[in-house]
Amino acid sequence: MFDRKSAIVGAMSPHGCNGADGHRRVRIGEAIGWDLVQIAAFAATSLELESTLRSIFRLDLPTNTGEVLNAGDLRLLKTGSEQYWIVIPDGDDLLRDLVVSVRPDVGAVTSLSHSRTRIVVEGSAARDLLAKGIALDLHTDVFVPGRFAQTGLHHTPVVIYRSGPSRYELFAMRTFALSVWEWLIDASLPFGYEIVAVGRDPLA
Amino acid sequence: MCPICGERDYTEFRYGGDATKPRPSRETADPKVWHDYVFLFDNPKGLHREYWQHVLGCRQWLVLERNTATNEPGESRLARMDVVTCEGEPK
Amino acid sequence: MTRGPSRVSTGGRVDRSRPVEFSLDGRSMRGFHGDTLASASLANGVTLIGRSFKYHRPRGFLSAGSEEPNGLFTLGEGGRREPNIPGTTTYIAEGLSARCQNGWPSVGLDFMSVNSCVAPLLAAGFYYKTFMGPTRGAWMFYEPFIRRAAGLGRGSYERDPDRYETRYAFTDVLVIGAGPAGLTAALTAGRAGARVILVEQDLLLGGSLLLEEATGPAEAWRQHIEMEIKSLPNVEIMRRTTAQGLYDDGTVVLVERREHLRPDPTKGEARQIVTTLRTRAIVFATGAIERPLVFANNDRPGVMLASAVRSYLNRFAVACGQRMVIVTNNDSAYSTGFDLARVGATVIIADLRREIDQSLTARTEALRIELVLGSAIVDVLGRKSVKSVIIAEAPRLSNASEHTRPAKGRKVDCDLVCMAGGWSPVVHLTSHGGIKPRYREDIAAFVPGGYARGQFGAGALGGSFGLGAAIREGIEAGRSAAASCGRNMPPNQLSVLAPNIEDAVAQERYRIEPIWHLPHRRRAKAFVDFQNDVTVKDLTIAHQEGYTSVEHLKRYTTLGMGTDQGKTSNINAFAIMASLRDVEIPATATTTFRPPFTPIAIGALAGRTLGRHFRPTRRSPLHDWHLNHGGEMIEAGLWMRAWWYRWAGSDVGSAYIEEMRLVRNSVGISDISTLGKIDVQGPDAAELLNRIYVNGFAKLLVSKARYGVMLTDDGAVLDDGTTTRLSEFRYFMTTTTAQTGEVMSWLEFLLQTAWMDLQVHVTSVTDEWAGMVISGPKARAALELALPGHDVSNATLPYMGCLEIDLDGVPLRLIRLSFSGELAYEVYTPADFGVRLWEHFLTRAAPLGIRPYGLEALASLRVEKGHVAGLELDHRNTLDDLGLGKMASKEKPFVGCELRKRPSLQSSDRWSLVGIECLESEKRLRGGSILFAAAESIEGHGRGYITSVTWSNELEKFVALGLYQGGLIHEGEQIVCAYPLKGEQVKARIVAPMFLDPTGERLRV
Repeated sequence: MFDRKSAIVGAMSPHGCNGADGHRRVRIGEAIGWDLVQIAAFAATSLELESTLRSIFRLDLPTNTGEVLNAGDLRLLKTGSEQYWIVIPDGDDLLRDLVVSVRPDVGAVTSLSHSRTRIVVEGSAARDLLAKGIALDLHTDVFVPGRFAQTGLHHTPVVIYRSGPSRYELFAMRTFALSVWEWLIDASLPFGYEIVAVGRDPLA
Repeated sequence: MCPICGERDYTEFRYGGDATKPRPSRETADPKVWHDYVFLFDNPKGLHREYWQHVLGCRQWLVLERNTATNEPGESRLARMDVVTCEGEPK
Repeated sequence: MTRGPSRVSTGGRVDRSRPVEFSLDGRSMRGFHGDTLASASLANGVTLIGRSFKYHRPRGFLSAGSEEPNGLFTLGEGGRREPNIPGTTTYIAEGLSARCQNGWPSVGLDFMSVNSCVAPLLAAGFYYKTFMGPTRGAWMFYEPFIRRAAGLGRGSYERDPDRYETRYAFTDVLVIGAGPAGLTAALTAGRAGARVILVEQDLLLGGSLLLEEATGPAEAWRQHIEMEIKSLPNVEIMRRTTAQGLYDDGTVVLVERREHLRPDPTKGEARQIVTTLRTRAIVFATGAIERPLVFANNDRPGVMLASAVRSYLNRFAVACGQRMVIVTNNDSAYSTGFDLARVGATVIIADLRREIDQSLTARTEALRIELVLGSAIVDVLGRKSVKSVIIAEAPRLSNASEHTRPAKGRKVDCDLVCMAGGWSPVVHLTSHGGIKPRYREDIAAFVPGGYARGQFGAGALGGSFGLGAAIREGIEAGRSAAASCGRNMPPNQLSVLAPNIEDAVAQERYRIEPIWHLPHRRRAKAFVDFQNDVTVKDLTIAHQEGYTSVEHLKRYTTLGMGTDQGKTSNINAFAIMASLRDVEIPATATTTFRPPFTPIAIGALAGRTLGRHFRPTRRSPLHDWHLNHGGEMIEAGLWMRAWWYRWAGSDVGSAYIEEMRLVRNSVGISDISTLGKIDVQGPDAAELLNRIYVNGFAKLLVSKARYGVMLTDDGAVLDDGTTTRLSEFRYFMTTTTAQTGEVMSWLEFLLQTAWMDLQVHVTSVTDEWAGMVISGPKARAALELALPGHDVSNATLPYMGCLEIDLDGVPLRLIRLSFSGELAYEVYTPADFGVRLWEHFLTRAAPLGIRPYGLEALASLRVEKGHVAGLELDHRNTLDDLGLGKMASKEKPFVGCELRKRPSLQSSDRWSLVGIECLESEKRLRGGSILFAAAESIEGHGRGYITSVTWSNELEKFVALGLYQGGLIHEGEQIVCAYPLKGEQVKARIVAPMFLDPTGERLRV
């Protein structure tokens, strides 16, 4: 009945701006149409939760924080020693399944689909752009494509997932998302940028 | 240094106080014990243990060793693995 | 015969095919690409470029680098105007406009030079004596005169239109300085496979190699190494970049200057870029700075450092004079003499030493240089430029005290004097971490006292002044640095081609005699610190008055406190002080080195943290709706909140009253998305809540909400809010907007450090849920219109009840709570649906006259009802202070329960919550008013203050909440509310803090 309205929809008109050298070396867009579920074990239930999740996904879970498991449309991020984030296309029944399968005395299932805004940044200057605000070594040998980190950008918490050598996804707090977006656009000015229309995979 | 996330910028952390003092048990009704816990602190020169929270990261509370004279950080561990508890109190 | 500096026809490293126009004091001039403002000015024959700080003495360039004390300019116009910039490190760009400083009306004709006549007034300790002593009153008289006369350039009040950036970077090895040691270190570490960043404050790499002739073997070697380095993809070169400070854990702050590229802010090009660089290893190859010698009138324009004169000749093709006298205590100055003699200048070398190396003597003879051993310059004649010097016999003592009378000397005509007092290694950065420099007798200089783990030094920094040594040490440091990052390399790959420079060998045998202070007449001024006009006499006064420690000396005389931070002056001053105290130099030590190495523009540190990017703004999911529908916004912490709406009035004062009337009489809707929301889940969730709230939560039923207050360990109120039990193991907690972060961290702290046994998990869901409150007597009717088919009757959804429903696939959480005192429902929905739901309520309930109301009305409604909020919860008050003491459970321990009973918190005198009603109908109450008892005189801090105020439609008067000494003991008493800022005093009365519906009938209908 109601359509979902993104936090940065107002800033989303596709346009661009050439950088000092006449090029547009970053592309920025918002990915929509996904859900995010957090699953966390309690102090004494981490093993039990792991085995529950293994039986649901029929896959080995990542062992270290920062590692990601990709299985079809599903992406599972290990966000803590006994905590996971699951990103799935919206409308998927997985959330309902999880609520049913994860017993409330074994784990806490929390929907965070609306809490985060997913901003995709890509291009030859993407790393230089993010290095202006993210105090992480983004060198490809260190922050390997396929990994993610929980860190800060513009004083707000963000999860940064490196989905390719020069492609990053930022999960920014929804209420700060427009501020983070404006910061990114301003920081992109010298590189030149292209704002890409909203979509499930806006830069595809 | 966060035991979960690795080496991180100091701006991602918030300070959370002295980690050498055990928190009195909830049932402690002696106001003197609470008074000492809340208000009395040593100010050691040298190695110290402090609480820090990785707020712009995994949000875990850590116990960090830090040399207060040189600011040199030492070992950092998850607080829940490393907390000082009251003697005799079941953890 | 011409006098003074001029461009020579060949040589140098400037690009003669690219002329650059610039202006100096409005005069148009021409230089070449690659010129600094200093070299271009000298090439145009300009020697007088400023007046000194206190005495307004004419000054010229002393150096050719970042140590320059005299040659400071004001660059740019309007908002770009920047004062005190050394001309020696500023590259000219087309259109550059520079102005000399501290001369009025001009540096050539400066009326303020009368200061030289009142010099005794301005001697060491002048400020202290005038401020502190019996002459303090005199300061009032002197001040305007002194302020106008003393000083350097002036900044701008206009907004700086340029853009600055800050960024983070990471590397294995940072090499600081691109002289021969730094170049080889970077090359070696790079070849070993380490990630390397090489920073150089100059535009060109090469360091001391740039002092050598532009066509010689040194240059060939420099270019070869540079090419080699550039061929390595893992080495990044940052030119025009200064390592400003060394911080904990190998962090270095770099400032890159790009002014010479004429950056365009509209294209996003930055004028300066600050990099916070994390390193795993550092090679310091910062080189050394030449020291002046101290003699009478050593500050006259045309008295320069010998190495600078060589730099101007070989780097910039500028001969600083035609007839020069070099005065030196060491070997390095001879190269300057040789090079200038080669281009036809007349050269006399006055060497303070009585014996020198034979090879030097031979070469001076070959070049027809007059060499006078054992002699000193005892005076310089000429005011705005050097005319001649007096050469006399040098003292035999290592440092002559002021009273040594100079021997009778001979007068020598000249237009240039070169000083060579030896070399001071640039130990600044290595000392930032707290490692004190160490004095080395053999080179008469301080070197690093050691290096921290993962840090290495090479070249002149460590006192190895020869080129061969620099290269050897550079290779070794580069290898060690790479190895410390796990990048080892076989020794056979370490060879780096060494240049064939004849001086290289000679420089290996650097000889110096530690004589710096030459004899002079008692009244003559011999300068130690050129920028701050500190003379030998000032040091003598400081010594006589007992300021002998270097840290005291510095502060008493202002020595080394200028923008150059005493780079050329400190060691000379310490040596002179050591001699006055009759101790060795190591006994005086050095002052503390602190970042930054050179001045940094505040704008560069701020970067883009300006305007709307100053801090992040937090916006509700309904933000845009408010903006588009007459909502006026207000900042609340980082949040922007809807303050009031234009439908209700044209200003906040009239609108909020109208909005309150709406809620009291019919129904309104307000955005409460900013409330902190925490998802509390787990088998022990109830236990957690029961421990942190003062009141009981163990028995809260599913689908019920409860108001709760939490304390900190010291017994003060931390926050309040409601928590709703959604299911057996799941609760929905709300906190005040302001305390969300604190409460979340506090819960995490308790769960992770104290109550690890509790099976609970907490997650912030503030951003997940949009929240709105529908309140007013017609609130239920509004819900019924908007949610057809859902039963929201009093039976299904009673006061403090909760209902989760599904509105065509959209989940809604309805909680019947009231902040306003009216029948009210908080409605939560996932944030992306927020606007649609809000619009849905407005549309469906339109027949009831529903309208939005803002923060001002929201906050005022609760004042009327007597609910406390952020303004009352000041982190100092207790439950009892707020009249909530009865909430505290006696059945269970809770956080803060012991310390809240401290006797000092039980005093009946504490400032506690009261209601206040205005007794003067034509006056108003104001938040922040200070409260006094009726008959009391209005002075001091009073007995309390008003925390929040509102006009009450119900009572037709202003009512307020406040904290008052003794609280409701004084109920019914008359008081005075004073607002000194507006000179207001209003009569009021203390009443119970509840102005409306005390039995709460309206809530339960």
